Amino acid sequence: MSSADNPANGPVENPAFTARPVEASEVPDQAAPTTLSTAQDVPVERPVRVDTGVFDEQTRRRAQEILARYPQPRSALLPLLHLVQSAEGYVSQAGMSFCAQLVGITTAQATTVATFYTMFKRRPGGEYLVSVCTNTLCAALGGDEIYARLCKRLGVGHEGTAGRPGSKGSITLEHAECLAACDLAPVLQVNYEFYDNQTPESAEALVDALRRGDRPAPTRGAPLTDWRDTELQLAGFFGEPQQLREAVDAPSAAPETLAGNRLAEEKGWQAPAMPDNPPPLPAVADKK
Amino acid sequence: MTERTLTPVLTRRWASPKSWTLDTYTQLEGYTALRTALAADPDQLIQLIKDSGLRGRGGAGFPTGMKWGFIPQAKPGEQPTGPAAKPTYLVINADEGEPGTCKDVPLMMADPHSLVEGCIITGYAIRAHLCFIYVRGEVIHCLRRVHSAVNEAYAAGYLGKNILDSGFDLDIVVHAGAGAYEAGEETALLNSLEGRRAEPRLKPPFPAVSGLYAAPTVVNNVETICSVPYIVNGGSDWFRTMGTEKSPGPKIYSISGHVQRPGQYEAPLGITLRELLDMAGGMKGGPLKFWTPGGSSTPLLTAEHMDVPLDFEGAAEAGSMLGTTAVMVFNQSVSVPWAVMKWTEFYEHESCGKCTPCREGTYWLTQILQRMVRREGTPSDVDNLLDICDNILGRSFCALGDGAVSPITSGIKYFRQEFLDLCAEQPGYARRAQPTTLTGSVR
Repeated sequence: MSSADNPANGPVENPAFTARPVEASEVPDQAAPTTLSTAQDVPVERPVRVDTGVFDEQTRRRAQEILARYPQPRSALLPLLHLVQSAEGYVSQAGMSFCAQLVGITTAQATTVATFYTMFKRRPGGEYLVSVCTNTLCAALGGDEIYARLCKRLGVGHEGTAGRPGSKGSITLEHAECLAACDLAPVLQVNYEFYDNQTPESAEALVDALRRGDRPAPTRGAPLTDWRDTELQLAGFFGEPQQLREAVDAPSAAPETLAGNRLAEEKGWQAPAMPDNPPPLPAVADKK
Repeated sequence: MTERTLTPVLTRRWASPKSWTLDTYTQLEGYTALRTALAADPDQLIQLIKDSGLRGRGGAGFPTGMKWGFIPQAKPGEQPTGPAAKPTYLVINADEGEPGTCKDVPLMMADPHSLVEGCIITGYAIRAHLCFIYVRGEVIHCLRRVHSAVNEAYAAGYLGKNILDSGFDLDIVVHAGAGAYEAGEETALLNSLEGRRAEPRLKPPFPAVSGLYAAPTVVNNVETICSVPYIVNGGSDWFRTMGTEKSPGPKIYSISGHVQRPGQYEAPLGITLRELLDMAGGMKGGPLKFWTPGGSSTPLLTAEHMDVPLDFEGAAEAGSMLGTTAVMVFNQSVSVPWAVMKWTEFYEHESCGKCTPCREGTYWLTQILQRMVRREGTPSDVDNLLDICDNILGRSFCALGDGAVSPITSGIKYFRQEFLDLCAEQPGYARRAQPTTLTGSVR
């Protein structure tokens, strides 16, 4: 990616090409140098001149909490990338260096991972991420048209942002692959919450409302917040217990979800009854 | 034959108020199977699952009990060596993303505790003390529900140290993915969980011997694990009262597309599309043209196949696969080459790039199909497509490549003329015809 795509990265993307001297503060914590694995996995220390000072104490504390979940630090990489994305609004060079240092890999290794996954964005995006499913089934039922209409309405294409990134009512649009809600097609998501059974008109009305600063409730999912807050949840931080409780209790079952249940109830159909008590478990051969 | 009915087992609690909470779950027999299981010998549980004939619900249909039995266990009284000396891990594949598939997401949203209980029983059976639930990132509400269920289970003493005074310890870590279809492949999922690109690994060694952190690992699908508590409570004979000899049990069929009442229908394995369509109120907007029995990676079938038993054997005999029982139904308004092109674009986007046949093949297939749909193709493109497919099928690293060719080869098998007609619409095969949009249809 060129630095023109990403002004925030410009000055630090490659310090070798900048005229100004590198400040000491830009060199990350010397106690935790980035390591470079060789074939023998012998760590080689290389200073990385990227300012990870943008990550505050709270983010660093959360990063440690994430690391503590896993037996091996590198397993924390995906949630850490969600965390830095939540902190900065995208995965920056500094974000990748920060994560790399924490899990003991090179920035290059972290970059190969960050760029592999579609949910990690390399440019700052909107308050809302609108993902329209354009996989075959949704597309056949109107998903392609919904996407085309939203592109026009918002004046952007795939991964384009209407409004200044991060500003109130700003929207990043993307076409998405199958979102696992095919019985409710065509679907779209806002910040990964489901809006089911959409039409081009309902989708346009939805983005209009978001642009105005309203937050229409999802069909299935918790009330909308900022996309960066969603990313924090993906990193495993769901807020206060009460907050989580309310979000958890937000609607999830569409009539389609319960279609089979309702029919079975109507017809009086049941699965064969289980025995009253669990039958004895099979005997196993003596262990040799 | 008597009328076949729906058999709500896994979906039984879905309509209950706040079905996702511990309170509702325990009121409806939740965590009773766990007590039975923890009182048993772990090997008895493995034998029970073997006896039940439960087969993996993630698409491949591998016998679950056999998978568990592959985990090397130390012999009593002997110092464990090799893989048996390493910790064992349980990893739940909740990265649902196969086009058409939408069963695990509603299952985890509506009844996350059945997954947690299944994990504890499975963990005990295979002697794992750490379990990861790898949830697809894009379904945050699902992640929330699973996270909350795990929290509730810890607070109630169903997770953590010395579960229900059994001496058994298990921790569950809920892990969010980051957007990669390929992470649904079990070894790619392990790579992803290790903080790497979701690229598949060469098998063997299989995860049972060398999985997460090169230690013995069981990777199971959500629906598979959710079935476990019911089998413990009902027994293998009860489980086998549903389904067929080789494909026993109930299964969640997700019906989507041009049907009157799309949705989730839990029926015994072996039910037919005709029966399912009947339950779903029939077709919408015209007669059936083509359908998939289990997602886009399972070869298309047509109206001729309405009476194919939808179990692992029946679907295979009809030249397809059962896959994830994601039954996508399309009426006459949908162009087969267009649908095939859309699916191929998906595989091209999701190909991880590790192996050449899939990375390059899906790229070229997409271009040829796009050209055909633009009416710039020639009849030789049909053979060209089949030739490329032939070079991908069985020659790629994992099943993604095999899945990518399924819609193309089956689409051409049943609808070759439709591909040729697209070429014929273009006089002389050289001049670009006026584009008329091929689409899906009206709703």
